[in-house]
Amino acid sequence: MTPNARVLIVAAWVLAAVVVVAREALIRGPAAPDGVAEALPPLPSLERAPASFETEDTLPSALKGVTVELVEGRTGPGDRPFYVAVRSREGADHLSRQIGRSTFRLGLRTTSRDLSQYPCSSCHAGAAMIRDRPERDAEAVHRNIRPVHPGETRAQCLTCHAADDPGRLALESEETVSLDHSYRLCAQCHFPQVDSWAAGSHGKRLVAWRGRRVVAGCADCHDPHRPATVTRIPYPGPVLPDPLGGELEGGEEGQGEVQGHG
Amino acid sequence: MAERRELTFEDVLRNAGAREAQSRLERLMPDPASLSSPAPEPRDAPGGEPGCGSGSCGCGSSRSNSLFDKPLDRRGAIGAMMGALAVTTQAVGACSPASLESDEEREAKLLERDEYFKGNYRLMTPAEKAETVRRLERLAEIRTGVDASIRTDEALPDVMYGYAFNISKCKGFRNCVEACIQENNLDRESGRQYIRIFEIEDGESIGDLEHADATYGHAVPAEGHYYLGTQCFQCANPPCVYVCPVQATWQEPDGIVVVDYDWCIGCRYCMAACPYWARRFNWSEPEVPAAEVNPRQHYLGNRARKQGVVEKCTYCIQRTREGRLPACAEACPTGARVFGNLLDPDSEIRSVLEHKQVFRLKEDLGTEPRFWYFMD
Amino acid sequence: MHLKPFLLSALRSATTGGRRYHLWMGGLTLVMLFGAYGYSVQLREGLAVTGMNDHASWGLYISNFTFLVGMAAAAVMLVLPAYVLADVDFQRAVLIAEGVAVSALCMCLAFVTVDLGNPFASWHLVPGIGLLNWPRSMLAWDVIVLNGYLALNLFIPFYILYNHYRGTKPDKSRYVPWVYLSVFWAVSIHLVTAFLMAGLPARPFWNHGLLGPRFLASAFTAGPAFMILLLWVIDSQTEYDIGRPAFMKLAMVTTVAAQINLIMLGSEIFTEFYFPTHHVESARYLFFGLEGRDALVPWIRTAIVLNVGATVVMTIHPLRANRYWLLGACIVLFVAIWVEKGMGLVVPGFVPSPLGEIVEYSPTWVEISVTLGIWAMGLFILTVLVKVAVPIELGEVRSPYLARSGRRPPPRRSVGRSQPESAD
Repeated sequence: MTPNARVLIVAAWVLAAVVVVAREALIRGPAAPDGVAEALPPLPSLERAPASFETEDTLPSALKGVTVELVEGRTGPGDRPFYVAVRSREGADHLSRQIGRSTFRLGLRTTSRDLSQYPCSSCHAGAAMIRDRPERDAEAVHRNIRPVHPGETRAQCLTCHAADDPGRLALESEETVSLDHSYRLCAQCHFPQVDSWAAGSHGKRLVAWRGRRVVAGCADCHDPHRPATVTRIPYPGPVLPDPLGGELEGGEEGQGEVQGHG
Repeated sequence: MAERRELTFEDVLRNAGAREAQSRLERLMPDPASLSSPAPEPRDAPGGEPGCGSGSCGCGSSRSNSLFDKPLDRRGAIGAMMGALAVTTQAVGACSPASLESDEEREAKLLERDEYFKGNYRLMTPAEKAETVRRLERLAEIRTGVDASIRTDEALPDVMYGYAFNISKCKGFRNCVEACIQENNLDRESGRQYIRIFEIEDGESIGDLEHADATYGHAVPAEGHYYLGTQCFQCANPPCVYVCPVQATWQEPDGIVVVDYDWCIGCRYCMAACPYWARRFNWSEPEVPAAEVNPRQHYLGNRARKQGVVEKCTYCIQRTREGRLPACAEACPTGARVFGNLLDPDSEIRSVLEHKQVFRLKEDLGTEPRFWYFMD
Repeated sequence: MHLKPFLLSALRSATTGGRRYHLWMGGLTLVMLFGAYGYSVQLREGLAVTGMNDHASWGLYISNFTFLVGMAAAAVMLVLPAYVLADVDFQRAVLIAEGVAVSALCMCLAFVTVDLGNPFASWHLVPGIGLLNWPRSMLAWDVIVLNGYLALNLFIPFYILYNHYRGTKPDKSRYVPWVYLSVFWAVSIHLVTAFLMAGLPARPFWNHGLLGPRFLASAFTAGPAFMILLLWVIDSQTEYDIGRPAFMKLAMVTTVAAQINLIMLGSEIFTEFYFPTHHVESARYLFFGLEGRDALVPWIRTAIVLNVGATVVMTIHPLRANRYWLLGACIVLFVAIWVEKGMGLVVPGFVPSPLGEIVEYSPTWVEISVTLGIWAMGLFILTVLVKVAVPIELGEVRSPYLARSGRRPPPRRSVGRSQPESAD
C-alpha cells in the first residue's frame, strides 16, 4: 500500500467521521421533536379521529362568559350544534373585541349606525305603529334606511317584522323569532347562503377556533335595510421603499390619511 | 421550581452585599446553602443588594465570579470561548462605570449576557425555558417598562392549523392588517405588515400578482376589482426551514413555522427562499410605543424582537394555542377568513375544503401551503 | 524547531520593503480603517444603514461574496496542471494562486460576516455548541466547504514553503493527496455557492441548472485574468520570474473559459426571451428594466459589451500574445464579470419580489466603505502572503539552523526551472 493511498483512506475516514458527528448533532437530544432533520410533518390525514374539545373544561377561556344562544333547526359540520352570538340583549357586545391593546368592532354593520339602537321597540311600542302604514311613510321616518328589501321585492315592514312586536321577526310559518335568530327568517329565501353559513364557508366565527362554535348572525354583517357594502377608506397599506426615487406605478395618493375602522 | 438549580447571576447579585464580608476564596466556592435555598423572585434582586450601587463594593469581582461559578455545560463552556469578545465588551460595560449606572442597568446587562449564551429553544429543558422567560420579562420591564407575560405553550395535541381565504368576500378594508400590527407588536417605525392585501382588476388572473396592487389607498371595495390577501402560509414543505443554516426556524407539530429570534444569525437566506415573501427582517431595532405593546406574548410569537433577526407571521401562536382565533381572522369584518383545525373532520376549515373549490398560490413549487383560497 | 524562526522571518519579510511597498500597505490600512468605521456604524444602527430592504434582502455584500468564491475556486486552474499534471510552467505561479485563494476566501468569510444581522450569534453555526443545519441547508454546506478550502490552501503552500525554508524537499506522499482533494474541493466550493441560489424555487432567475456551470465558467475567466495581472506585477516588480509559458497558458485558460461563459450567457438569454414566460420578469428587469425601473440596465449592458469585447481580443492570437492587449483584456474581463456575476446576478433575483412588487436596490456609503475595506483587507493579506513566499522560493530566506547543522541546501525548486524567461 502506497503512502498516497493510506492518506486518501484516512481522509475518507475523516470525512465519514464528520458526517457522523454532524448527523448526530442534528438529531441529538429529545427536545428536537420533528426537528428539521426529521421527515416532513405528514399532511393531515382525512381519516384522523375528531379532536374532542367540546367539554366545558377545555373551553378556551376567551369563550367563557360569552352570551350565546343555540342555533335552532340547523347544525354545523359533522352535525355539531353551534351557537349564534347574541346582540339584542343588553350588555352582550361580542362584536367588539380586544386585539392587542385596541378594540376592534367586527362585522360590516359596524360601519353604519342604522340599527345600533336596538331594539326597535323603543319607538315602535305598539303594533299599530307599523301595521297600517304605507311604505312611503316608513321611508320618511327612517331617512337612513334605504329599503332594498321593501323596495325591490315589494315587501312591507311586516314581511319580516312581527306585527305586534317589531323587535321580533315573523316567519312564514307565523312563528316569531328574536332578532338574534335572523338566519331563520333569511333562510326562507336565501337558503344557499344560510346553508353555507351553517357549513362554515359563509359568515364569521367569533372568538375561538375551538370549543363551542359561535358565529355572527346574518344581520351582524348584512344590514337588512341596506344590504349593499358601504365603501370606506381602508387602513393604510404598505409603503414600498424606493431608494432610487423612480416613479412608482400603482402607488396612490392620499394613502395613509384616513384610518378606517369603525 | 426544581429544588436543585444552577447558581445564577441573580444569586450572586442577591448575595453580593453579604459576600463582601467573606474572603475571596469563599466567594470563589459557592455556598451549598445558597444553591439549595429556594430562589426569591428576581424582581427583588436590585433592592436586596445594599452597597452595590455605591460603586465601591467590588461587585465586578463577585460578578465575574458568577461566570466561573456557574456550572457551564458543554455548549455554555465553548460558547463562552466563542463569544469572548462580546462578553468582554458586556462585562466591561457592566462593571466599569459602576458609579454612573443604576442597579437596573447593571442587572439588565447581566441578564443580556445570560441571554447571549442560551441555547436553541428546542433544546431547552422546561426549567431553562422558564429561566429565559423570566429573564426576558424582566428585561422588557427594565428596558421598556412593559409588564409582559411570555408564554411557552406547546402545540395542542391532534391539531394542525389550516386557513382558508374567501376571495369573493374580501373587500380590502385591511382590518386584518391593523389587527396584526396591534396583536403582534410589529415595528411601527418601518411600517411593518405581515399581511398583504392585493387589489386585482376583474379579468386579471389571480396568479398574476405582478399586475396587482397592494398599496391602494382609495375607498374600498373599488368598482371592478377583487381582493386577495397573502401572509405566511405555514407550508407543509417550507423552503425557509430547509435553508436556515442554524435551525433557528422550524415547523411546530401544529404546522406553524416559527423563528427562535434569539438563535437567528440574520443571514436572511430564508427570505430569499420564501416564494410568498412572508418573512421580514429587523433592519434596525424594532420600535413599539410602550403604551401600545401587547403584553400577552409567546416566546415563538409576538414577544419583542431585536435588531438583525428575521420574523414572520405565526398564525398568532400566542392566541391560537389558547384556542383563540388569529387576530386577522378575528378582525376581518366580512368573514372572508376561515381558520381551524385540519385534523378535526368537523371543523369549518375542513368543511370549506370539502365543499368548495379551492386552490393555493404557486402550487407548482410543491411547498404545500396550509392556506387555501376559495370563492362563493 | 524551524517553526519559530520561520514565523519570525515571515514577519520580517512582510514588514520590510521599499517605500512604495509601505505606501501600498499604508494605503490599504487606511481603506481598511475606513471600512471598519463603516462596519461600526452598521453594527450600531443595524443593517438599516445599508441599501437592502425586505424586498432586496441581499445586496453588495453577497454579490462580492459570490464573485470572490469564484476567485478562490479559480486557483484550481493552476493547481491542477502544476501538481497533478506536473506541468513545469506553472510550478512558480501555483503558490501565488494559492495565496490568491486564501485571500479571496478571507474576503468571502468577511463578506458573509458583515452581511449577518446578528454576527455575535455566529457561534450558533459551530457544530457541537451550535446547531449547524447540515446537510440540509446549502449555506451550512458553504460554511463547511469554504473553511475546508481555506484550510487546504493554507496547509499545502505552508508545507511546501516550510520545507523549502528548512532546506528539505517536500514529501509528495504528504501533500499530493491533499492537492487532489483540493482540486475537487475547489470545484465544489463554487458549485455549492451556485446551488445555494439555484436551489431556491422562490427565485426563478436563479432556479435553473445552468447556474452552477456558469458560475464555474465565469470564475475560471475572472480568476485566471486576475492571476495574470497579479503575476505580471510580481514578475515585473520582483526577481521572481514567472516565465512566459505560464502567462500564455493562463491566457489560454482565460480565453476558453470566457468563450464558454459567453455561450452560456447566450443560452440563458435565448431561453428567457425566445418565448417569455412569467419567470422572465427578473431577466427583463436586468436587461431592459421593468415599469420604468432600470437601475441595473446600464451596468449589465456595459458588462456584456466589455465581456464580449475582451473575449474577442483574447481570442485573436496576435493580440493575446501582446502583453498590453492581454493585460488590458484581463482588466476588462475582471471588471465585466464582477458586474455581471455580482450585482447582475444577485440583485435581479429579488426584483420583482415573489409577490410581484418592484423595489430596487442601491448600495449606501456604509456598504461601499465596508466593501472597499474588505477588498483592501484581501489585497493586504495577498501582499503579505506573496511577500513571504517569494523570498523563500528565491532561496533568499532560509532557516538559520541550516548553516549550523551544515546541511547543504538543495537547489531551489528542482523541477522545471531551466531558463528564466521574461514575461514578454
